[in-house]
Amino acid sequence: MLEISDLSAGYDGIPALRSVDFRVGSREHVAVLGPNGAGKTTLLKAISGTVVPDSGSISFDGQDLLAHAPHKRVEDGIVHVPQGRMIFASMTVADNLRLGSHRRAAQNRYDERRDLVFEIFPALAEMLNRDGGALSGGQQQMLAVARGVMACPRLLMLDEPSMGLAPRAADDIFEGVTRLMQSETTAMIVVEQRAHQALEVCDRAYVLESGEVSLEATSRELLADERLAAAYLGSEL
Amino acid sequence: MTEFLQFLVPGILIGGVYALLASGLGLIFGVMRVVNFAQADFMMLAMYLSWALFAGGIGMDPFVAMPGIFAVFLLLGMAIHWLFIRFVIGRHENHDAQVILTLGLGLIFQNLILIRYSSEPRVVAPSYANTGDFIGDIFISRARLYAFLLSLLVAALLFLFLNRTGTGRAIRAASENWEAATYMGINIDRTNRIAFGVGVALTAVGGAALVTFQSITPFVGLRFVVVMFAAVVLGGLGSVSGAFVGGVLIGIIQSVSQVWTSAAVKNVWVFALFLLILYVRPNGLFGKVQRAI
Amino acid sequence: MTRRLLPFVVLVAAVALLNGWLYQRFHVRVLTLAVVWALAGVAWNLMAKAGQISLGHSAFVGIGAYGFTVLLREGGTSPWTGMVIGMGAAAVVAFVIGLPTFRLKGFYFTLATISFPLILELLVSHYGEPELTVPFHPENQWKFMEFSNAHTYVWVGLGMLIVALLISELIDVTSFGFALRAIRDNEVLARAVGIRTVAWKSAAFMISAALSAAMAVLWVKAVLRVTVAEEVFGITVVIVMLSVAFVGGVGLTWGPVVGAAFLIPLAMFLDDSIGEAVPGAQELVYAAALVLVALLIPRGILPAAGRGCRWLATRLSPTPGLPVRQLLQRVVAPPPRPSPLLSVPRRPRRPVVLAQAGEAPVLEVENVAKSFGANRVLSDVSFTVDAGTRVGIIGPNGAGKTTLFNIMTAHLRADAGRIRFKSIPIDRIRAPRRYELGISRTFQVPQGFGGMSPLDNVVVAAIGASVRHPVDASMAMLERVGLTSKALGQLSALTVAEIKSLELARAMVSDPELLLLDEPLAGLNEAERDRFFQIVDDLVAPHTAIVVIEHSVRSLVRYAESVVALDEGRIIAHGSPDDVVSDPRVIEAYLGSKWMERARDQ
Repeated sequence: MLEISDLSAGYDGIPALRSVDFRVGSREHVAVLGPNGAGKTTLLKAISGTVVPDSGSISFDGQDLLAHAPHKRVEDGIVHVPQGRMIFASMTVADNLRLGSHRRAAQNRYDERRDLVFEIFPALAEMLNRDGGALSGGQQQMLAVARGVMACPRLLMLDEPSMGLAPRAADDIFEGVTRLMQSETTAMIVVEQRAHQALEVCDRAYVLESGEVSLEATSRELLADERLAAAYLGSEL
Repeated sequence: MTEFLQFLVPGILIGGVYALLASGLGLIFGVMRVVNFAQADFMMLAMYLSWALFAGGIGMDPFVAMPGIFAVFLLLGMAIHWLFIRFVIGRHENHDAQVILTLGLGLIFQNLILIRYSSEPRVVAPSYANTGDFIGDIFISRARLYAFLLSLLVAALLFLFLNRTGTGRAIRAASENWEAATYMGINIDRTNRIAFGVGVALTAVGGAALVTFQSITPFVGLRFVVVMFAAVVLGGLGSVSGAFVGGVLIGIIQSVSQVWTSAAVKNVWVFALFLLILYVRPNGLFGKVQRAI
Repeated sequence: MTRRLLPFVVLVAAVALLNGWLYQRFHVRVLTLAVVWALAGVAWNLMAKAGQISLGHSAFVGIGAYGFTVLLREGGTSPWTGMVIGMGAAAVVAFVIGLPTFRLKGFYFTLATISFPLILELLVSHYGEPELTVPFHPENQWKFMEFSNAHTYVWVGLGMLIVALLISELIDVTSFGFALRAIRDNEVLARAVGIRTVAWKSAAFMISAALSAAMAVLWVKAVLRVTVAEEVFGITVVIVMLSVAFVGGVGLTWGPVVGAAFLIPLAMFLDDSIGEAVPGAQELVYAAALVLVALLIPRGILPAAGRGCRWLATRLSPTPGLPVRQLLQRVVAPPPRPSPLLSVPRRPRRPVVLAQAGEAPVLEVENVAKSFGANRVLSDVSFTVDAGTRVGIIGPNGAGKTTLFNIMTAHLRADAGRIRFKSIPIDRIRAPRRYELGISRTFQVPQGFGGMSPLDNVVVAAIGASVRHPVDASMAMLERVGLTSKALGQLSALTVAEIKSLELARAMVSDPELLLLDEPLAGLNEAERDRFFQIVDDLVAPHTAIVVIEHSVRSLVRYAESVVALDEGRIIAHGSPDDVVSDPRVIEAYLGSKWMERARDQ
């Protein structure tokens, strides 16, 4: 479904990704792991179009994605739930969800999608009329994921959904993501620091280090691999 | 007390029009972070258009012409965005180019009008222009009252547009966080174009509401540009509702200052307040103060 | 030297030639105005050197014009004396305006400046006279600047223009110019390397205001002959200043001269030929120039011409006997020498050593707390750093590392707690002063002054620390990090690893006692990471303490002597690297609780 080859990207000439090959099959759930500054977020931004790569190619369903403007890529079905949540704080939860269904294919399915979102995150149902800014960190993260789900994505990308959350709140998010994966056939990319949780819900994973793919394996292989802990904490473990 | 009220009421009325003028500037800044120095000249153009419609044979009342003026300036604003403004909006902040581009555009408008209509002041005087009613001791000018009511109406419509339509929501989303808006599939360039058009049209309608009590020259915008900025800064740069409140406050201060000082220097109070707000609360009266060391 | 002298020779020759050759009143008037507006543009451009766009300069022009007219009318004071007094008054006003205004960020400065001339114009028109005629004093031409020969005004104007250009050139080659360019390129970084941004901007603003007031006297005496508030305080003054500066080259000494040479004759001749029928023709020229420059060449003709020459130099084939290419290549060749710097030695502003090594710690962080709204980011963080030690601060994303760093570097103020540097409380000390005291830093996203060579990037930091021979010291630092060959090139030509080395050179040129590194390893590969810490160790003196904030633990544990682990704004572990990374709470923070459960099960 998504094929990336030899992708390099950076900011103002400072490289963040070097020659990355990356693939997501349809209905596949892929985790992207690695320490800070490894280029995980840049990879997602290159896919959604807010970072323009220096070289390499990205194709989605056989189409050249780089020829599409960022908003066009949402129409293609690529939906990015960004790091730091980026919910619209001055708008209500309902308005945030409506903006989530801005995609043409989702506009007429608002009610149906909203019901799905409430199934995944029941807590959201009670706060439809509250401002996004008044929610707690965990609730905001639920809203951010829910907003992505509203768009009927074909490829949903979650960037560090547990960042800055207490362990309990992070667990809630992952429970929701698990429910989502059971009820939908959407392909997903999950960027995560809490490696174990990401690996539990994903089929396959890439480990990025310093902008390069240092490891690619199935989740089961990785869970047993000491190199993963090494990538995070050093060889002492 | 009566003297105070005699200045307060007209201040509130004219403040409503300032609110309308400023909301356009605030909308444009909020959505695309462009400080549009040509905004007051769009107001001037709209004033000439309503004068031409009124004096140029058809005798159309400025308030009747309002929807047409809105439509014309919506298109003009979108065209100006497409022709010029979009090239100086970038990921890299490019304030220098924005400043000189919008200053230059405003100057071009002024001088084209000067060439066409000369600098002779023009007035639009419908039958109600110089009439009014007394409520107690307070005189309420008809023209100003109509302008104020119109502002309330437009404010309500703007509120509905921004809150109840998809495009309006997209504009608000882009203004709060363009990156997140992009992830929703919102076309930022299109949103900017529409917001620029709507922003220009709002100010244009404000200009048309002014013509029954404000004489028109090619350089009339200069008198309003800082008033508009003051209103926008007072309400918090980028906030449309803030700009509305700011506009009314500016109108009140400008008018009430005449209790103490001559009408000729009433704008000194506005400019001084503008500076004070910039220094003390750069995020506006209602904004947060975030200070470093 | 010739590079700097040549433009002056060309200017004098051109003006002299035209002044001798032109005889029609109108033509001499055009020449006079070109010189006057070039002078105004040079004055305005001094602020643009620091990246500040002022729309308020007509306030100073108005002060100069009104000042000398009133003095001449009331006391018969010579316009020359009036000019000096007006310049002083304008400088004082600029100082008073500048103090609050320069604390405003970005274009808030531009916005604020608009209102000053408007306020002055209203006050002068209402409480003073909206229009003042300048009394005629033919009895003493030089004393009263009352020249019967119109050409004399051109000579006087040329003299004033040359003085202004010399001032501008002098600023460029002293630490003043380095500071202004640093502020223009990156104000945050400038403050982090000891540049007192408000003081430098104020100084530039005052000189700029004084020159504008001087220009006003000449303008009124030679051309206007009457001082009208609406004209001298008017927005058109600023428009013309902006136009000549932006068209020629914004912030460049010679930009306004080029701009005025193009625009003023164009506007005047157009006005002369069609002005009757088209009253706004002159203003349309300026307006069109602004729009075109904004869209096509945002930095003006001079930089665009430089790019054009560079392009031509690469395209022209090396035909024998065609010296054009060689000439072009000489013009566009990178400078063979560092940019000149007339450095005035200053006494270093570092306090006498208060603490000997081994006594008080270099850095003491005590019970620091910080919240953003309801969100508590740091609570009760305390640790100390001894001289000559290396401390690592680790933690997952969102743990509060960056907030802690921002508090240490004066970007944020803590809600509670204290920070002491060598026993001095520094909680309320701003960034430039912290640098002077001996605290250097690097940035998570490497920062640089983009418009300067790598060498000048370091020189600015050396100036900020009052290093005795800034250029030599900076060159020596670049040699130690292996950047000698790229010292004079473009900053953008450096690789990530090289930019990080440059940051180290910049941070270490002041010989700090505390070096703060903000996620220095991000973006580096394994080999580069090890090399990075090698460079750090090569550069630091034995007494320098180092604090490294880092997400990636692996490289850090090999380097730091002790590690502080943060999670959710609290210190969860503190001690030797081995102890910290095997602490269950740290592992849980990084890999999640389930990882720990599984590890226990196995």
